[in-house]
Amino acid sequence: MPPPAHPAEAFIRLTTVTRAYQTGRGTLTALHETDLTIAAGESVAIVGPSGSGKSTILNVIAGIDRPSGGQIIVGGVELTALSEERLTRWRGEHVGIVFQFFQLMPTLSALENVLLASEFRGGRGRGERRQRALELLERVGLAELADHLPAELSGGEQQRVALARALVNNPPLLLADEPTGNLDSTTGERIMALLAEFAVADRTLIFVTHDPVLAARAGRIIRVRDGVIASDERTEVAVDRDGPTTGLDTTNGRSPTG
Amino acid sequence: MPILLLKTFRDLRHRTLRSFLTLLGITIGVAGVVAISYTARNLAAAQGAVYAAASQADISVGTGDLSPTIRNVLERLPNVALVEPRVYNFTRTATDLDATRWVDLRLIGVGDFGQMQINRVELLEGRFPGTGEIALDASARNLLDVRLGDTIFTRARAADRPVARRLVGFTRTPAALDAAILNQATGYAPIADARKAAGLVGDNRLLIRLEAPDEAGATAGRIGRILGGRGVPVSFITIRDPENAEGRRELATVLLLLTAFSALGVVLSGFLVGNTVAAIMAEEMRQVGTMKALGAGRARLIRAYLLPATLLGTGGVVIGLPVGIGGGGALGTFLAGLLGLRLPPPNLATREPLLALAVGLGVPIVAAVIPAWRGAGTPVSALVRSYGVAAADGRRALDRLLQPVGRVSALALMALRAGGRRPARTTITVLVIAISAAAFLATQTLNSSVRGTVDALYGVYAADAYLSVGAATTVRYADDLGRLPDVARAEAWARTGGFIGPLGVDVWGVPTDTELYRYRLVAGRWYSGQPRELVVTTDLARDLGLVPDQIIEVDIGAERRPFTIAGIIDDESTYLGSTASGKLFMTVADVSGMTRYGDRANLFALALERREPTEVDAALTRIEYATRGLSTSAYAAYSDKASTLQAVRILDLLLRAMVTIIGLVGAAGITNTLILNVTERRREIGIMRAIGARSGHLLQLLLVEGLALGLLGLALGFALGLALARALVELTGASLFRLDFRLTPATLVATAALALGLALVASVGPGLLAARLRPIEALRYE
Repeated sequence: MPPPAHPAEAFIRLTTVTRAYQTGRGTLTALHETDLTIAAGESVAIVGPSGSGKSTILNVIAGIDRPSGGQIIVGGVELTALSEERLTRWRGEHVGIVFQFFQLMPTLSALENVLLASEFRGGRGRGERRQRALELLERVGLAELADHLPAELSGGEQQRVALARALVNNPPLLLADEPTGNLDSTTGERIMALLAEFAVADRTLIFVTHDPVLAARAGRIIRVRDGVIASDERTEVAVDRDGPTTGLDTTNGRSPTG
Repeated sequence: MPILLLKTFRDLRHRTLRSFLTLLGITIGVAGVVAISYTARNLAAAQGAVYAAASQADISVGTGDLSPTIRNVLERLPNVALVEPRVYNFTRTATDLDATRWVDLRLIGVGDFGQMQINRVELLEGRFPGTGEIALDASARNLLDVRLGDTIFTRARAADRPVARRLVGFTRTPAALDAAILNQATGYAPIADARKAAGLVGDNRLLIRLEAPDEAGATAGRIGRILGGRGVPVSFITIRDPENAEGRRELATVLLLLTAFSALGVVLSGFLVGNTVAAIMAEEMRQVGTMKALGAGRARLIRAYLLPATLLGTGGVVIGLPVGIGGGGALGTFLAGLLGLRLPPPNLATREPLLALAVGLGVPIVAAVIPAWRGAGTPVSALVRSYGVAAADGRRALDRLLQPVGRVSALALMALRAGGRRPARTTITVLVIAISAAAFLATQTLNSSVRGTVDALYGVYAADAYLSVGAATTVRYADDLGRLPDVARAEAWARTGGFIGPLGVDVWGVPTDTELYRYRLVAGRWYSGQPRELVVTTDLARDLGLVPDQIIEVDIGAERRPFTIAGIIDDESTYLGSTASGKLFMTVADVSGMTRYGDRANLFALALERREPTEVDAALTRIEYATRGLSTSAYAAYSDKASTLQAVRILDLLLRAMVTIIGLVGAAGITNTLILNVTERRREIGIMRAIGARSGHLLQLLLVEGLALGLLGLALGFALGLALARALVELTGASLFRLDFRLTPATLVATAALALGLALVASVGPGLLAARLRPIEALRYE
């Protein structure tokens, strides 16, 4: 079933994107000639069973994986035409990623993990970067644990650090691969609330999940099955973009409490 | 095939690069140790064979012109089995009459080449010479560009008319040092030709074989008295001492260094192999957990994980053993050639395979048993949770250390803390770098100590040139020489050999008020000019327990006289191949009084007006012309020094070869560690790529990591290196000649540059490997 066209201005456009892998038993097609358009500021949940290709969509949009065929344009940049190095630079500037298993650097403290991503991007002064990282940790409620190593943090706390890391360069695109998959339901809720809170203004949020309840919080749900998009629909209950979950004003990046 | 073996094979194949590096590490270790052991064993055997050979003269006597009939007299003495005369003529040779530099040549005249019984010469190429012909020791080709059939010219002095000789053979003289080391070629001619060249009617060297070499001292004394009684001037009597034979000191030094470096090699390769095997084991912990969950007991697990180590070790032994024997053969042949020894044909003793097994199998197995034992004792749950590498240990301590540096970037912190994640591996890598740096520092220091000492020695012998005279000349001739335009100062000296009891010594006659021998007094005083006073060198004083004011009996020529020791001086310089145990200095009158030369000198020490080598050469040619009536022969001190340094060159070459091997092993060690660090952290690197780390960042990460290891290794290497350098200088000094310890700032800088350079170069490969990783591959890697 072809996905419905969306009239909004396309921020992400996938055109007949295929991703196939060579395995010992022949070619495995994880994604098959997929077309997809996502507008700036949309919040999209990608759902589907294991091995359906949902993470592959996320990975090719992030430029982590390269398609075997087709074209991907994000924010006017044709990713398939970029070298690995330029792609990495682009990702550092434009994409924030949250992984299922947090994937923090085990030897760096919470603050240093956040700083690492802003160091990769460069540009700002050291003091300014540090200020920004501390601010984000405060906003995810971890200011007091900034000096702790990941091993000294709970799963939820680690995922909040990962979220701060994803946001430190203020990327227009926020990607999350099963961000709550390794957390209990209460902690998962908290992370989703934070994700929603940060998906403000023109920031596009795409997350992969198994959980229909979490998926329902997105403005649009894309179902993937056997490497093709099976359905693409808008939901009634959109992500609460002005949600008061943490009582933080996210538009100017500052906490009202100072 | 048992499943376990199948799994081992597949694991090894799965990690091709790592398996290859480990195999390479084991092979280098095995080959190095085998090569050194093989070289040392065969050189020792070659030396033993030469000195055991009955061909060597038990006593050699240097004399003035000697009637051939004396041979019959001496052969009737008790204990004398055989006497062969020779003529030794120290001359010079060139292939071209207009040559600017003539090479020193020791021309030996032989009565009958076919009947040589003592100091036999082997013919390698061509034939023995007839009248007007010459055969050269093959090593002469290191100094002269000659082929069989060429005509070469000889002349003792610039003023002499050159004699043309046809080169008809190349020979090998057992136990003679290489011409390149002595800076002197050796040639053989019919005895009549040599007599003519030397201006002799008879002979000037007697080679004597004894029935009971143990009684050589008594027989030598008797021979000396007979010759003295017949008025034959005796310049030296040398008794062959298998414990103190020509080249022994040089060989002992080389063997000592080889042994020291083989020990270092074992330690280094052990570290390298142990490191890699332990890393593979660490990575397998999850599998160990699964196997334990399936019911594998400790013994089975240890067996399972000994298998890869055993397989790799066996591979290392199979490749390393023949490579080591081949390499050892090549190194041994090279060294044996320089020392005039002949290496036995390729052979295999039990020592090398045993060493190969110990290094190739022993070390990897020990390295594998420890983690396997630990893994087998860890609960399954902990093993299954074990993923990649743990967080850093000692972070707080490191952070405190970095505080004064100010804020360090998160990337640099990651690199610096990486060492704490695998403390054992970091320790081993730091040790490998430290040992490499220490070996470099020690060898460089040994080198500069040897050179510095040689410089100092030639500072003691301050003459620019020495003029030897055909027949001893009155000491007043020094005044005539001093008036020559090229000469700033001339002193009459005498030089001969002697004995204190059974101990051979060099005897120097030097004026009391000498300016050309700058003695360094250690005890007592310089002799005052009173008869029968002498000074002895420290080595001799040490060996014989001599002190100032003691009276000793000295044999020179046919005479034995008591002398009072005025003082002890520091002068352990020795000419190459010297077998003397030390030196005595006395007045020329005392020396010549005993050799029956009268108040005569046989050597004049000259200080020249101009000291540049080309000026010295030109001046000496003029001086030889001016003094041709006395058949003088001049040689320059700078050329003597060059030949001493040439001998040091072997040492230098050997040290450089060793340092290169050790450096390579060190670099392999760092590369290995960093590659392991990269593969172990593929996932982390993938995440970094995903969040925007570019190639430069990853390269930077690995470079800082390598540099940190390099700095730690360097710090430890300095400490270790100083101790090692002291030991090496001490040991080499004990077997060669006493060395002054000289550590130069340049050595320190070079060591630092080497350790850090090595660390950086070794980091580039793993850094590029990390930079090449695609995030999706790294994220998928387990």
